[in-house]
Amino acid sequence: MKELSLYFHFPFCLKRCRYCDFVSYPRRDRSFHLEYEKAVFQEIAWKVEEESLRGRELSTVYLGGGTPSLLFPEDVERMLNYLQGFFTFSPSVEITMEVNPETVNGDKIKAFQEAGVNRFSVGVQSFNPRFLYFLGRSSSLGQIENVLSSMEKIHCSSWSLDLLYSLPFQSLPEWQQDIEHALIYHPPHLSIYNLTLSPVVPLYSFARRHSRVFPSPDEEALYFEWTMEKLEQEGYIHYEISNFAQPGAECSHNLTYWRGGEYLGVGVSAWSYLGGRRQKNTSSLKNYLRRLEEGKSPLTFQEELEAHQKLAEDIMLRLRTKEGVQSSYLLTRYRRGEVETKLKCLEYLSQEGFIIKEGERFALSKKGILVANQIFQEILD
Amino acid sequence: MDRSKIRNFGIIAHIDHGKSTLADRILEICGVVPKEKMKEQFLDHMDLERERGITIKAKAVRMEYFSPSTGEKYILNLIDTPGHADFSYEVSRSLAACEGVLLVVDASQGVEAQTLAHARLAISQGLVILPVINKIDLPAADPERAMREVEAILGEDHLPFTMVSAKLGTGVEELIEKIVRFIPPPPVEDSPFLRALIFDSVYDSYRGVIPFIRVKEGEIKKGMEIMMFSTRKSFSVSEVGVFTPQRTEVDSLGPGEVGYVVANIRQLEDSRVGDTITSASHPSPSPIPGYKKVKPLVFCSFYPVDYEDYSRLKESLERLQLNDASLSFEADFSEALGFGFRCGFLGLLHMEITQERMEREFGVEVVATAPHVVYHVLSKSGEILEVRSPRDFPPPSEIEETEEPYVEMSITVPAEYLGGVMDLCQSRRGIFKDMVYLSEKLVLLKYDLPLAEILLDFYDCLKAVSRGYASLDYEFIGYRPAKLVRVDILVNREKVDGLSFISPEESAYYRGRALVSRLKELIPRQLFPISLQAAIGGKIIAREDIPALRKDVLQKCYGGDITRKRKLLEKQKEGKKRMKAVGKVRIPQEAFLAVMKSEK
Repeated sequence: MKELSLYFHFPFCLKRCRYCDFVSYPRRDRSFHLEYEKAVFQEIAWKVEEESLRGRELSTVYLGGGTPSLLFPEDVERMLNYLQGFFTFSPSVEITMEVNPETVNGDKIKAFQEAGVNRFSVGVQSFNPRFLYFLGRSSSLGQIENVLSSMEKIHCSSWSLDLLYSLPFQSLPEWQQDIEHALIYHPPHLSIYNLTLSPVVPLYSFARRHSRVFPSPDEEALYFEWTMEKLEQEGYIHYEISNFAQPGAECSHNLTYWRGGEYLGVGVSAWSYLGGRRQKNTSSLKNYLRRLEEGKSPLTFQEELEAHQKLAEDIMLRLRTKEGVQSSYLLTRYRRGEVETKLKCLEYLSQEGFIIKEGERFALSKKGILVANQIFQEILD
Repeated sequence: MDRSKIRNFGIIAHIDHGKSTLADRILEICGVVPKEKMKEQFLDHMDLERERGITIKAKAVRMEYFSPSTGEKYILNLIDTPGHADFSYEVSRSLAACEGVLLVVDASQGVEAQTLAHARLAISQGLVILPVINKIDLPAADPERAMREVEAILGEDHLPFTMVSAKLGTGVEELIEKIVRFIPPPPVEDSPFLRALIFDSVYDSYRGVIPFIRVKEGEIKKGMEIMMFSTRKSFSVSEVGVFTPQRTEVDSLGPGEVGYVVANIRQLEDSRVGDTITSASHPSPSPIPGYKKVKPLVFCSFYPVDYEDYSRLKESLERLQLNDASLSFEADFSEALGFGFRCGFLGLLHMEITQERMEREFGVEVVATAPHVVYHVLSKSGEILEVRSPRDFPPPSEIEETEEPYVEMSITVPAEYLGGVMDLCQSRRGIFKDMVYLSEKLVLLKYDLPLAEILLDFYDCLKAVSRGYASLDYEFIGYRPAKLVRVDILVNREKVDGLSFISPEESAYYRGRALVSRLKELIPRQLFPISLQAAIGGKIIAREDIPALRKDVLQKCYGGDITRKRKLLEKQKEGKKRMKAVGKVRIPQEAFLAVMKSEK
C-alpha cells in the first residue's frame, strides 16, 4: 500500500506577522485549544472512514501553522498516539514541527523531542532586528539564537531554518550576513524564500506604495545566484527551488508534495491530496468547529484533475526538484501523445539553456530556476 | 400659396452662442410649441446634441407669423444647420434652401472662427445676413465689440443688428419683424420644370427614407413620379407635407416652400443631400447647382471590446448609416484587435459623435484606433494609389510621389496668445497664409495645414496655448505633395505589420524613436532579450533593447499552494496566449494600440 503523509494545521499565533497570509487566529485559552484538538480528532476519524485510509503507513507527519510550538508536549504526544490508532508509522517516519523562537526554550524543545518530534523547522526569517521589526515578528534575536543553540545541545540531527530575502532597503551584504549568521549553527536544512506579499496582508499596501525600496527582480536574481553558489560551497544540495539540505537531510514531507504523493491534511484550511483529488478544509475556525460538531464535512473545495492538468502539474512539481522528471516515468503514467508534446517543449527549453537534460532526465538549470514561472507557463497547455 | 409671404431662413452660430435657444424663442412666439410643452432646445433631437450643445443634423420647422406692423400673415421656414465644420457641405446645402440667415454672435465671446466660416458660406450664396448679438444680458457682454468684429468679417458698416437675449426673450419679437422685413421672399423663377433641393433626410422604419426639400421651381404633389437627378432613379410620391414641427400632410408643395416627401425610398443612397428632385416625366434639363458627393476625409477603425459584439457593432453601424449618408465603413482586421470596421468620417467631431452614439444608443463598446487620413501615392509605374493603411504603403523604391490632404485652417485668437498659436501651427507643418485684426483684441489667422497634423491633439494644444480662447474652423482644400515614408518596427529583426506607420519624412526619426521607447515599456520582459528597431526601408533609425527576464519564480510551493499556484500560472498563460507571437516574442495588445493611438 502507498505511503501517506499527514499535515496538521494549528491555526493560533501570539500575534500575526505582517507578511503572513496563512490562516491564523490569536492564541486562545487552553480549553479552547483542547476543543480544537477534539474537532481535529473527529476529522481524522471521519476522513479515515470516508477515504478508507485505515491501516495506511504514515511516512511523514508535519505539524504546521499558525504556531504549533504553542502546543504543549503532551498535546503532541496525544496527537501521535491518536494517529497510531488508525495508521502504522513507518520505521523511518519523519515528524516535523514548525517552531517560532519566542514560544520555546531548550527544555520545551527537548520535551517535544521526547514526545516524538524528530525534526524542527525554525522560523527565523532574519537575524537583522530591523527586518524582524519590519516583518512584525514576535521573536527577538536573543530568542532566535537561543533556540538555534539548543538544537546542537539536544543533538537534534534533523532541523531546518527559514530565511527571507528581498526586504525593503536590504542590500546584498546585509543578505549575505544573514546567510553567514545562519551557517554558524550548521543547520542541516535551509529554506530560502523571497518576500511575497499577497493582497490580504498588512504589508501589501506598504509594498504597493513603496515598491522602489524593495530590491528589483534583477537584484533579487543577484541575491539568489549568490545564495545558490554560497550554499553549494558549504556542501548543501539545492534539492528544490527554495530548499537546501546537507546530503540526507532533505525534508521527506515536502518531497511528498513535489513527487505527487498522497497526503491527508487536517485542521482549519488544510489541504489533502487523495486518490487524484485535491481537497481543502474551510478557512473559518468557527465553521470548522461547527461543522465537525454537527458531524458534517469541513471541506469547502474539491477538484479532480483532468488527465492533461495532472500531467502538466506533475511535470511542474517535479521540475521544482533537483531530481527533475524522467521521460520514462511520464510515459508509463500518461497518454503518449500528450507526453510527447511536453517532451518536445522540454527539449526546446533545454536547447535554450533553461533545462538540463541528462539521459532521459530533465531538470531546471540555475538560469531556469530563476525564471521557473515562465518555464512552467511554457509547459502548461 | 402666396410666395411673397414666405420667408426661408437659417441660423448660423458658433457652438454655444445660443442658436438653439434663439430658435426655441422664435418657435414659442410663433405659437408652434406652447411654452409649457417646450422641451428645452427643441431643434436638438438627440440627447447627444443637447449634451454637447450642438446641432448635428439639419432640421426644419414651418411657422405661421402674424406681423403686427404689416397686419399680414407670413409663413416662416426655419431651416436649422449643423454647427460644425465637419458638416460644412451639409451647411452649404441647408443655406441653399434659404434666402436669408441669422448670424448669431455671443456678446461676451465675440466672433469665432466658425462664425466666420459660416458667414462666408452665406455670403457666397448671396444670402441676406441679419446679424444678431445674443446674450446681451450677461455681465461680461460687450455688444459694441461684437458688433465691430461682425462688421469686420462681413466687410460692411451699418448692418441691421438686433440685440437679443434669447434666454430672456428680449429683442426676439423685433428680430422676427426684421426677418419679415429684410429677408426677401423666394424669388420668382417661373419654369415648366420641377426642381427641389434635398437638404436633409431621415429614415423612418415604416416609410423609408424621407427627403427634406426646398422647392425651387414647379410643384410636387402626391401621386407624382419623381426622379433623383444624380442617380436617375424614379420614385412615386405617396405623400408631401410640412413640418409643424410634426410631419403634416399637405396637398402640394410649390415654389419657395419647404417640406418633406414620402416616396418609398429604401436606401439613403437615393436621397443625397444637395441632389435635385425633378419630375420623372418632364425632367428639368439641369439640376440645382452645388451638388457634391461627399467623401470621407478622416478614417479610423472600430473594434468591439468584446469579440462577441462584432455582429452588434456591424448592425449599429448599419443603422447609424440609415440617417447619416456621410458615414462609410468596411470590414477590417487587426492583428491585435481582431475583426472590426474601418470607418470613414467627414471629420473628427463626426467620428466622435458616431462612436458615442454607438456606445450610447446601441450599447456597443468599441476600441477606436487613432484617426488617420488617406494618402495618395503615385507609383513609378504611373498608378495612383489611395493608401489607407501602412500595410498598403509601397516601399520607397516604387514611389514616384506622395501627397497628403490639406485643410485651410482659420483660427480666431485674442492678440495676446497670437505667438503661441503661430508656434503651434508652424510646428505642425503649417504654411502661413493671412492674418487680420478683427478688432484691436481679436486676430484672425489663416494657415494651410496637413489634415494629418490636426487629427490627434491639435485642438487640445490650441486650447492650451490660448487658455481656451482660440477657436478654429477648417476646410478641406485638396491634396498636396508631401515627403512621406513608412516606418516599420522590427522585433528581434522581424517586421511586425501591425506596428508600422506612415510619417512625414522630417519627423519619422523622432516618431520612430518615440514609438520604440514606448514599446519598450509595453512589451514585458521575456525569457529572451528582445531588440526593438524602427526602420525606413532598410535603414535603422532607432533601437531599444529589452533585457531578458532575470527572475520570476514562486518560491514557496507546498501542499496548500499547489492548486492556487497552478491556477495563477494558468491565468498568466491565458494572458500570454492573447498576445501576438512574433518569433519567440509575445507582443501584448497595448503595444499595437500604442501605435494606433498616438503616432506622436
